[in-house]
Amino acid sequence: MAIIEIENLTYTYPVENFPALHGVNLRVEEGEWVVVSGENEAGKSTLCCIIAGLIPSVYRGKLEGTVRLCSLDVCQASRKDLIHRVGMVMQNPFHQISGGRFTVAEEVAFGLENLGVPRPEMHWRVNDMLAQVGIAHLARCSPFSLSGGQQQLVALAAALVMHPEVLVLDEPTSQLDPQASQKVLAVVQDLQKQGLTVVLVEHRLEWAAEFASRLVILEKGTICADGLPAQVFAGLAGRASGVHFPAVTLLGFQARREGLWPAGRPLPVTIEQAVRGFRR
Amino acid sequence: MFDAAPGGWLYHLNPLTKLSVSLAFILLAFLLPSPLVSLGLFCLAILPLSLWGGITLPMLNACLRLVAPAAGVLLVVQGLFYPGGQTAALRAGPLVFWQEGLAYAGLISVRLLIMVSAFSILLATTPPAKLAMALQQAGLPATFAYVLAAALQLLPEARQRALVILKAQRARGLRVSGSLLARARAVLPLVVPMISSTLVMAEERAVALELRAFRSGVKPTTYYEIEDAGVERTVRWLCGLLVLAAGIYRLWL
Repeated sequence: MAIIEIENLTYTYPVENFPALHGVNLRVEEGEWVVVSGENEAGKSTLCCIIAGLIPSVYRGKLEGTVRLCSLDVCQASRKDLIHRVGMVMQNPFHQISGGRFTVAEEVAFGLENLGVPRPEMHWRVNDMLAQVGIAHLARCSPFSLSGGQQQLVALAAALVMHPEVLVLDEPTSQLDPQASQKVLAVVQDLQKQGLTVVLVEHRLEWAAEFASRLVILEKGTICADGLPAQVFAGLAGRASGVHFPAVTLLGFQARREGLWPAGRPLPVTIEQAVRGFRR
Repeated sequence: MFDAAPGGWLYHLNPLTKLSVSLAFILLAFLLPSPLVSLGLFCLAILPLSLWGGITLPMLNACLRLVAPAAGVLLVVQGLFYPGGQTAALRAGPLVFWQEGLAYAGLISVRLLIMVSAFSILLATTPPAKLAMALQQAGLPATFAYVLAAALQLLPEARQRALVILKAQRARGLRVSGSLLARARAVLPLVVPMISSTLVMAEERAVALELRAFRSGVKPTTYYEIEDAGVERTVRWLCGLLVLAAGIYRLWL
């Protein structure tokens, strides 16, 4: 069942003359992990804001086409209706701290407070989410005293505690070190295995392609490739798409040129796939 | 959460009770015209309360730092230049300290003392989060409670951001030490990114709040429950009545 349905979407920001997204069609099934990539200004963050319902309610502009999230028209739905369906984590962890709460536990509970969730349920949900994300030991710390990676985990917990059906992540690891990035993605992977639908915008496809069930490449506001990561990489070979291929996939390209990797065999996306491919 | 802080017995009181008592002390100091009555209020109510809470030293320290310099200036300025001065209290050459001016300076100083000491007790024994939550529980709109809490967090947050900018600019070769001129030159490269990053942050934070149902129209709940005993409610009513009585007395006087 499709959880996100985007048809003929064209969106132009208020002060711009050219659309940020043009003729976009995207269908995401329940439980999928879709990675969106592409060069800067390709429209990735705009797509995230549209799926999260921030466009057109927060960011105005001209939107054409239809966007449905869990069968709900995003353009017509109220914020309250959308909150239960979609959560979003942005690039800068520091800017996502509400600023009005003094401990990590309170910070995570902030959204639930605003939804009027009863206190016992709120405590249960916050403790459970802090444990799932692996920051239960930080519950009493100030969110401002944490490292960037820890702050991003707090932002993730704050989004997930609302129990959304879809999680949109807009370059959540771009400001984190490799260890912190892996931790954030590992947490998301665990939750995706439990049925969460994930849309992740990511430049570094080294790990993301490994987790992704689908890879969507945006180029100047339109989707130029959509499919399994290996298929997308094969299709983009030799094209300037602004996509940073995983090193192991580049190795596959080179091996194919040298005749070490059969033309019909899908390109490797993970080290395990490469090892298996070379062993055959 | 609120279990490791100074203040002992006072710490566990509802912040609204402490706020009411503090405000009552301040209003009484303003409504009762005699500085001796205000001084009595300090000695017989505020001081024992601070002793009970074990925060006398920090409270006296705050009073010394804030009230003493102000009182000194007031005594000199009002003593010398009080407009209605008729009785000379002290003559030093051409300078005359008027008794009326000194009395007025004393009254203002004692009021300042009451203000600083009463709020010191409140602030030293109340975490800001607890105060914001208590106000929200008492019916203050969540938006106001958020603004209050955000304002209290503003300084540590700004300091953290300023440190990041300082490190980044130093890495680019900015000199922030040395002569006064060199320091003055360093201000602009620090202030401009601070302002621009604040504007970016304000926009992103607004989006983050939107994503977390801020102003969703639902009656919000609070993560912690602030206890409110019947005795404390009675104390708050008594404070209100006392202030009302003092107001009526002042009008009648």
